[in-house]
Amino acid sequence: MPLLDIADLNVSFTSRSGVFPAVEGFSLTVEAGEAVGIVGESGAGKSVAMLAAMGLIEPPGRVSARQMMFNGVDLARTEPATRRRVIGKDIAMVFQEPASNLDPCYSIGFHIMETLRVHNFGHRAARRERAIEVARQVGFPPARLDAFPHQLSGGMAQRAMIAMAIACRPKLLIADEPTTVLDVSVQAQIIALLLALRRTQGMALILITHDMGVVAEAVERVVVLYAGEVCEQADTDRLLRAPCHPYTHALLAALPERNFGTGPLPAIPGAVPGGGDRPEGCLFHPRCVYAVERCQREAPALRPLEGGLVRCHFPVKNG
Amino acid sequence: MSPVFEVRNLSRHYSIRRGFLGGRDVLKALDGVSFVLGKGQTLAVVGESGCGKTTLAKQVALVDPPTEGHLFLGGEDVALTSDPASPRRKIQIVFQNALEALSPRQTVGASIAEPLAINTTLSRPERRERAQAMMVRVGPQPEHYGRYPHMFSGGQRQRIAIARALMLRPLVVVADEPVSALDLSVQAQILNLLMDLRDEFALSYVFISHDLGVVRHIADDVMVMYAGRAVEQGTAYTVLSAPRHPYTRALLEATPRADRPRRRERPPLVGEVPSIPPPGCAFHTRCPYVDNVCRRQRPEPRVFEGREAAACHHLEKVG
Repeated sequence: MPLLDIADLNVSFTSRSGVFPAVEGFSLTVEAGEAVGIVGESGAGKSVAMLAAMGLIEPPGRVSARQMMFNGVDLARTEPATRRRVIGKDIAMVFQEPASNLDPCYSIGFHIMETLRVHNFGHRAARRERAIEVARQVGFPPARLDAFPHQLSGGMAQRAMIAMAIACRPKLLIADEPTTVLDVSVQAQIIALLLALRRTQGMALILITHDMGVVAEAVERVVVLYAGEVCEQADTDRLLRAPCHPYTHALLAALPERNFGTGPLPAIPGAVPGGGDRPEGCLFHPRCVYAVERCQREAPALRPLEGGLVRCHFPVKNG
Repeated sequence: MSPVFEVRNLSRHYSIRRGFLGGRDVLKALDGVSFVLGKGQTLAVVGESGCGKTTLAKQVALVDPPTEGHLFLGGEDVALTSDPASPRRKIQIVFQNALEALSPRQTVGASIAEPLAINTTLSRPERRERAQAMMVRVGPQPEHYGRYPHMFSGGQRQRIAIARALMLRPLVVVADEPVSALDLSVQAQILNLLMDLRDEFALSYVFISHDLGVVRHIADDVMVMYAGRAVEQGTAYTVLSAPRHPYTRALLEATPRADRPRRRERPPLVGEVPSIPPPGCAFHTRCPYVDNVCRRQRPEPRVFEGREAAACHHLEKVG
């Protein structure tokens, strides 16, 4: 049985101008100890899907799912009190901007100990000891546990966030763009830390990112989202080498590192559709070089191909 | 090629307080940086946050006066000029976040036309006509003249900022991380636009970026900065394909690559850029080649193997 099994997750937001489907028909399974990447541009629904899984979407957002099984508990059906016992303890999340997700009024040590207190981790002295232990583990100097968030650099603040997240030894860590605002040097340090934690703790990892390089370095399997739908899912190596969906294909082709010389980059025309302008048929067809009449009319289903899944009438043939 | 723009020995020092009653220290945010830029050429400035990239951008664009140094534009030293308005017309700047750089209460057309209102005696209809002509070339569509910045996507907003920067026909455009905040598919569009405009308007770019993939694609020359100083500079090809400074090498090594994943648990660079550089070589605290000479003596930049300058005691050893 997989650790996490999300089936048919839908998230929509209602505003004056109508209903905006942020995530549609999203399914994902993650095995214990596995590392999965969720990739997409802004507005693709990456973060929303994971926030919904953690029960963190508030009205006017609407969440529905066939099931969201985590470790034998269906998070979609459980009481909020039960869910709160799981969230933060067995599933933990690290956010993109550590500075804005830490409370400026409290020290880092307090943040870590608070997580432990909420999840009933021993008495005060034990919590303190555990806070020092996890700080060491993530490379956060224990002497600086008395520091407040504003006194830390971005990299250190992210280490503090990770220390909080792993304090209760979660089975699954969801990291939402954990390195996006950091320098490449510090980014490499944080990715290395996540990989080391995964190995030593046997922790599963869901990494949300828009950076194909980060995906390549950190995860074994990738789910590509476009405008709220999964458009492709495959093993990392296969996806990067031979992408089947025209969107994945175009995204990888546009990477400057894959274009030597100074000629123009093969850019994808247009932009990701927003709330009001979702096209009929395949969501990607207005920007797709392979689109034909059928793509404008008929939305493709997600189907198995080359060991992965792809949502396209005419997948790209590689090689 | 005759240089359009020459920067010689540019420094910016800030005076910082040492505690409440303490004296003052000098923070050398930029310390003796020099470069030459030919017509139609692009110099990329790379380095981690806090290395002085943005300070350099501000000095070069005359936003903030340098402490010392010279900026020669067409033979004239514009750093010393008493009337900054005149050279400022020929050096323009594009920022990372166009939404913050554009006035939310001004129509984008008015934003694009504003440089003409300030610097020329053109009538309102003439200004409008020129702004619309620029919009035809750079975007967004001239019909959107009366719209406001929030009504556009990130890529379109960056086009507006670029159009505004070009209204006075500058010789030099300083672009401070112009594509960092954009999605991958849009990033390629804007890079292509910048390269087309460079050829069309014979622009020279000072391109500030932390993304080495982007730099490799767009730049003729590269300057790698650390703690306010240039540690390695030369042609993009020389510096990026055969880096000889340990810092350049580590930065390249730290950059995640989609086509060359390593999945490592040991990052190539530990620690972060020090805000107050240590004595000796500023990089010695993080350098794998460090010895006693590095701790005592600051390496002076020297010409080395086809690059204009490299500042390291052990260039010969870093083979």
